[in-house]
Parts: sequence; structure tokens; C-alpha cells
Amino acid sequence: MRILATLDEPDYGDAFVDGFSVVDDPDRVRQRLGFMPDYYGAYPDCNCVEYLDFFARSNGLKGGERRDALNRVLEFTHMQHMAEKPTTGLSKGMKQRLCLGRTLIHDPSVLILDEPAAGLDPRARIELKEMIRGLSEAGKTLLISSHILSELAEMCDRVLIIEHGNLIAAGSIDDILSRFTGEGEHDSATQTVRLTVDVLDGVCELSEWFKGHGIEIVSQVRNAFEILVEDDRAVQADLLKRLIDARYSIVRFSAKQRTLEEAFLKATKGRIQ
Amino acid sequence: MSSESSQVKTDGNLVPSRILTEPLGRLDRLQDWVAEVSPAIFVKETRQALKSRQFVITFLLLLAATVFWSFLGTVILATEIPNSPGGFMASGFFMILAFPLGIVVPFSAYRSLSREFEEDTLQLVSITQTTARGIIAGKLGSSLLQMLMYLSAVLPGLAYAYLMQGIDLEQLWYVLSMLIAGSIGEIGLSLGLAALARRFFLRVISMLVNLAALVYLFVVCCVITYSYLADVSFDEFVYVSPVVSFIAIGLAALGFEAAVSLVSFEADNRSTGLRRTMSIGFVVFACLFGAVLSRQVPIGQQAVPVVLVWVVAWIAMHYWLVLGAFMSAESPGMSKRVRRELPKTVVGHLERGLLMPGPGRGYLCALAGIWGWFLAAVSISLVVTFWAGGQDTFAIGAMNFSLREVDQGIIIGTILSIYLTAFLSLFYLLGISLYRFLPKPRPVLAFICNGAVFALANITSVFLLEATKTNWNDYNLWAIACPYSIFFTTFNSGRSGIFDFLSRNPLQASALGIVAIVATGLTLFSLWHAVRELAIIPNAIPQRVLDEMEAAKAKKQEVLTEESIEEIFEQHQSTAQSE
Repeated sequence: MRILATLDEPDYGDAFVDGFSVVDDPDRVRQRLGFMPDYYGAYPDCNCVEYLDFFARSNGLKGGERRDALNRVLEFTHMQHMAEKPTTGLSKGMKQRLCLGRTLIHDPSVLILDEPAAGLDPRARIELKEMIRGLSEAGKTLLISSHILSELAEMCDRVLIIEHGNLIAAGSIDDILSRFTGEGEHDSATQTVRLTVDVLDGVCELSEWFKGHGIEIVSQVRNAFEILVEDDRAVQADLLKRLIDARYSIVRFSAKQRTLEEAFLKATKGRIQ
Repeated sequence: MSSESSQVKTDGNLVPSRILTEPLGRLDRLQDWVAEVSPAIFVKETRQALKSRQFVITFLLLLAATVFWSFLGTVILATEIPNSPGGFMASGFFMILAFPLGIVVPFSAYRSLSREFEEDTLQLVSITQTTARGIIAGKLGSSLLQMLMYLSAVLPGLAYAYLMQGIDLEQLWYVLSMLIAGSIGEIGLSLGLAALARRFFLRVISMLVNLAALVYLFVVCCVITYSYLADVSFDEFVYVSPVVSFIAIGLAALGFEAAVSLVSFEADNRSTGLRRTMSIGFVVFACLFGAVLSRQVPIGQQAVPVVLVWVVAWIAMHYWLVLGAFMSAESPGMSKRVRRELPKTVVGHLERGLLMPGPGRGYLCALAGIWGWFLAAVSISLVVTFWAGGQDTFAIGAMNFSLREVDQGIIIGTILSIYLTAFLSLFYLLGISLYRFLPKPRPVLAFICNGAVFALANITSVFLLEATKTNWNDYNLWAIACPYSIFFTTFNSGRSGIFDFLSRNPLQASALGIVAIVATGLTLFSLWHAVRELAIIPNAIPQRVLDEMEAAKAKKQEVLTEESIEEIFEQHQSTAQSE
């Protein structure tokens, strides 16, 4: 990320943003790029609007153009009422908003956000997620790094998994999930799928019922069974009907939810850093 | 007129229109305009500095001290007023002013840049469109503005001292200009030091060193100011002041360029600005230094011996040796971006061929510096000899030139140039060898290695001479006191005939011979290796960059066309209306 943000030089090779090399033409890359690092970088004796004004000036915005940019960013980050507050006295959530504002001040087409949601409370996290979604809808390209993978799944179209500096996997969320959590939910060799069946009571009877109907139980945790059934929606619907007919009180009947965490663990072979 | 119509909307706020037409309103608009055209970092730094507690406290203390000294000085000098004690009074104000200018402002500049590294804010600025030069210039500009603010607090006091008589405006100007230039020099060097010290322990050490140096300079400044103004017959200040000022400004430029170079992106051209400043700065310094020495050296009656030319050349050669040790320690890798900027024409090569980055070019640049100064000194010596027409001395105006040292100067210069060339070659080879093992550019480390090798070589030569000496008469204190033992021993013995000396000391002669052969070999290899760097072909500009440049050009033309069409349309309309 730091290489893409033109802060560091690669040991070898190159990277390009909109066709410009980050090594040879960093100035042209910087015009198109907004980088939000995982640190704050506040100045003492400086309020929020002065802080944003400084970065607007630094990015070459002048006069009315700069004032428009300031208004736009303050409005987007909902920071109008905080404009005169000193940057050193802001809450974590507000600091993140200010950082996002700083990143957006010159209206870059590519945004790199490093751990944008780290340390935020749930409300601030939801608000940030909405802002990021808004930016995406505005046609901006966003590159986000995060350790909170569930959030990434909600925000991103494509995912890269990097371990020890090596690219392990790249693709859309569905691609990654099917590639790395396939065994959990879907086994292409046996054409089976895992289902979770949760019942209110009658666990022992249901266990016997599954065995009696030739259904393999993978695991059982309290009232919930994980079973293997044929990867056919009609077969699954029929099974549910039969369970209801057998008067079992079904609380949940669903395919096992695939998550990016599982995909990550599989992709990195469980070696969490 | 309604209240609404008497107001003008600016920036979304209603401002009474009279404010925009009244003098204060104009001042506000002027201020807005200045802020608009000023670099971003200058505006930010000024905003921060003027709001900081440190500035407010210093300014108030300065005001209080100025007022206090006005009263105290007047009371002390009450009986001396008929004797025009303005000099003493002014020295007090200068000492008061020296504190913020000599310590507070340079140290603030140092801390300002150092804090940017500590809090990683410099990275945030460096990825905007503000260049490294813009960042450092902004910090320097803000410091200058603070300096002016502090100056404004003490100027009434200086005016008061002037009114007490005993000191004229010219004298005040000499001291003030020296103080301001000295402060600028300190700011430049502080910025360079702050940019150099990135790691925590280096930051702590550099901060302490910087503070100690500033305090020391402050004390020196106070002593000089007092000695000058308390004894106004010290006429030499007329010469000393401009020289000190030029040297200080030169050091500021050097510190500034060093800071710019250190803050720049790794792939950027970090050398040309620094090398150019070093070259030009030293030429100016040498001229001024020579001019002052010609006034000050008490040899004969205002005589300037030719050896003075060689003293300046001697300093210049060592200056280039130090710079050469640094330049030849640069990383041998040249980025594509720099390759794009390489000169393509003969004129370009002559103008900045050796100023471009790279250890080879740095080595050749330093060699050019050493031999350039040597040739300049030889030329001056020969011209002087020619003008003298066979006499021992000759006069230009009031100055008498002595020719006794011309021959010795040329001998000493030749040996020294060869000696320094050999060391430079060693530095260059050491640097390029070191980079075979270093993963990343480490010019400071390579520079330190060069310095260590230089010291080791000189110490070894002292021991060798000590161990091999056969005749005490050939070996005087110079050889031990000066690290250039070979050089000075040779030179001193050269007075009575170098071949005579060598014939009486066969071991030393053999050692010198071996050193000379090795040094020649090293130099020839270094030259061959370094010249290859000049043959690097410039890179072409990538198509994507060319496309964008074309697009920007077309857009500019388009806007111009639209404007001109509008103008034509407006002109046409106004003509139609008038008809």
C-alpha cells in the first residue's frame, strides 16, 4: 500500500496507477490518489478546517475551488459542526472522518484506505461503512486493507489475500469463497452440501431419524446438527418437508454460511499472523 | 439603501461593503491575496507558529525585555548621555534580539521539521502535490516571518539607541544584517540536521547538538556585538559583516538544499541542486574570504602574497575532498526518472553533466573541483609572475604582491592535488564496493567509511614515517602534527631538494614509490569506471506521460479558444449596442 501511495520504492518491479508508474511518475500518481494511512497525523495549534485547508492548498486547489472542496468534504463527512474544533481534541471516530476528508479533499479517483475501521465504535463503523459505500457509488476505485474480514465482505467487490508479502489469492468475493470454503459447504467430488438443522427438542430422536434415513451427521453441537445432503435444492426442500411431517420443531434449516474468515484461514493454511 | 444592499457576500458570509473599500478592508484583501499565492506549508506553518504558546511567550518576553532595557539602560547611562552612549545601549538591544533570532527561531524550525518525522505527518504532505522544496521553503519562510515579528518588537528600542547618538545607521545596519543572516544560516543548518536525523536516538543527539551549537553561537554573537558596539572604532566590521553574512547565507543555502535532498522521494534527483549550491556557494565564499584576508593579513604594508591564492585554493581543495567523499558515496543505482532528466546535448553535458546523481559523476565532479581550483591558482600565480616582470614584488593599486611563494605554491598545489585525487579514487572504489553488500542506499554510512579510511591512511603514514625515519633533520613537527605527513614531509624536504631527501631515505622513497604506483593504478581504474557512468543513455518519456501532456496542452488551448470566442462575441455586442 505504501508503494502504491508513492511513499516507498519497491525493491524490484513497479506498480502503476492509471497507467503511471509509482516509481517514475509519483507526482502524476499523487494527483489521482488519496491515501488514508492507519495513523492520524494531526498538527498542534490547528483546527479541523485549517487542517483540511492546508491539504487542499497542498494539493494545488486555489480560491473558490478550494472553498468548494472544503464545503464538499465537510458535508460528506458530516463535520460542519466540528470545523472550528482543534484537531488534537477529536474522538477516534471524528479523527477517522477528518482523515477521510483529508484523503478526499482533491477528489481523487483512486483511494487507498489502510485499516479505516480500526478502533472505531460500532456506530462510527457503520457510518464509515456508509461513507465508503457512497464513495464506491460515486465511481471511485477503493483499495481497503483490513483485518476485519466480515466488513470487507460487505464492502468489497474483489479481494486479495497476501501472506508474508506473497499474493495468495485474488478474485471476487464469490470466487474466493467458493475456492477456499468449498469443502465446508460444497464438495464437488461427492456432490454433497452441508446443512445446519437446529431443533427445539427431540435431539436423540432426530439423530436416530437421520441415521434411519441414511443422512450423514458431520457434527452435533447441542440442538444443532450439521449434516451432509445431496447438492440439490429439491432434495433439500423434500428433506425439510419430511422433517416437519415427522413433527420435529425446526428452528433453523440452512446451508452453512461461508465467511471470508474461513476462506482466509484456508488460503493461509491457518497461519494467522 | 437597505442593509442587505450595503453588504457583500464573500465565502458565504455577509460582509459590510464598506469594509472592502476602507483601508483595513483593503489590507484584509491584500492579506487574503498573499495567503492565496503563498505555498501551502508556509500558510500552515505561519498559522501554527503564530498561534503557538511558544511564540506568544517569546514575543511578550522580548517586548518586556526591550522595555526593561530601555529604562535600565537610560538609568545606567544617565550621566553618560553627553558622551553619546548609543553604542552601548544598542548592544543591549541586539543581545535581547539575538536570543529569539539565534536560538528560538532556528530551534523552532528544527523542531517543526523533526516533529513531522516523529508524527509521520511529512508522509501525508509528501504524497500531495507539494514538492520537497516547497515543504522546506515553507518552513524557512515561516521562520523568516517569525524573525520579522520579533524584529518589530525590538526595532523601537534600536531607534531609541540611535537617538541617543554615538552610533550611526550604517553601524546598526552592519550588526543587524549580520544577526539576521546568522539566524538564517542557523535556520538552514537546523533544517538540514532535522532532515538528516530520522531515527529516535539520532533525533535526540541531533537535537542536543543543535541546541548546544545555537547557545554557543548566541554567546559568541553577544560578545561580538558588545565588543563592536562598545568600541565603535572597530572598522574591520565593515568587511567582516558582509563576509559573515554571505557565509551564513551560503550555509543556509547548503542546509536548505541538503534538507530538500533528504526529504525528496528516493527516485527523485536529489543531487543536482545540492551540487550546484555547493559549487556556487564556495566560489562566492572564496572570493569574499580572499578579499577580507587581503585586508587583514599583516604581511608587509597591505601586501597580499601570492601564497594567499594558494591558501584559498588549499581550503577549496579540501572542501571538494569532503564533498567528493560524500558524492562518491551515493548509491550507484539511477532511477528511470533521473535517467529521463539526463542531458542529451553537448551544452547540457557541459552545464550539468557532472551535477547529475551517481557516484561516478560525483567523483568526477569533485575531481573537477580540486583540479579546477589548482589550475585557477596556477593561472593566477603565472599571471602575477608575468605582470611582475622579473621583480620580486609588484603593485596593483595599494596592494603589493610578493612573488617569493609562487614556486612553492605550485609545488605544494601539485602534490596536494595528486594526493587528494588518490584519496578520492579510493573513496569512490570503496563506495561502489560497499554498495555490493548494501541492500539500500546508505550515503551517510559510506561517507563515514570514507572518513575512517582517510583517517586510517594518514595515521598509518605517520607511524610508517616514525618507524622508518633515518635522519631527524628531514622530519620535523609538521609531520606529526599534521595528518598529511607524507605530503608535508615531502614538501618540507622539497625545499632543500626532494631528490636529495629521497636519496638519503631509501625506505621512505620505496614506500612513497609503492604508494604512488598503487594510487596511480587506483585512480586510473576509478576514472575508467566513473567515465562509464557518463555514457548512460537518457530514458525516453513514457507514452502515457506524453499522452497526458498532450491532453493538458490541448485542454489549455481549448480554454483559450473559448475565452477568445467569448471576447470576440462581447466586443461584437458592445459595438452593436454603441451603433
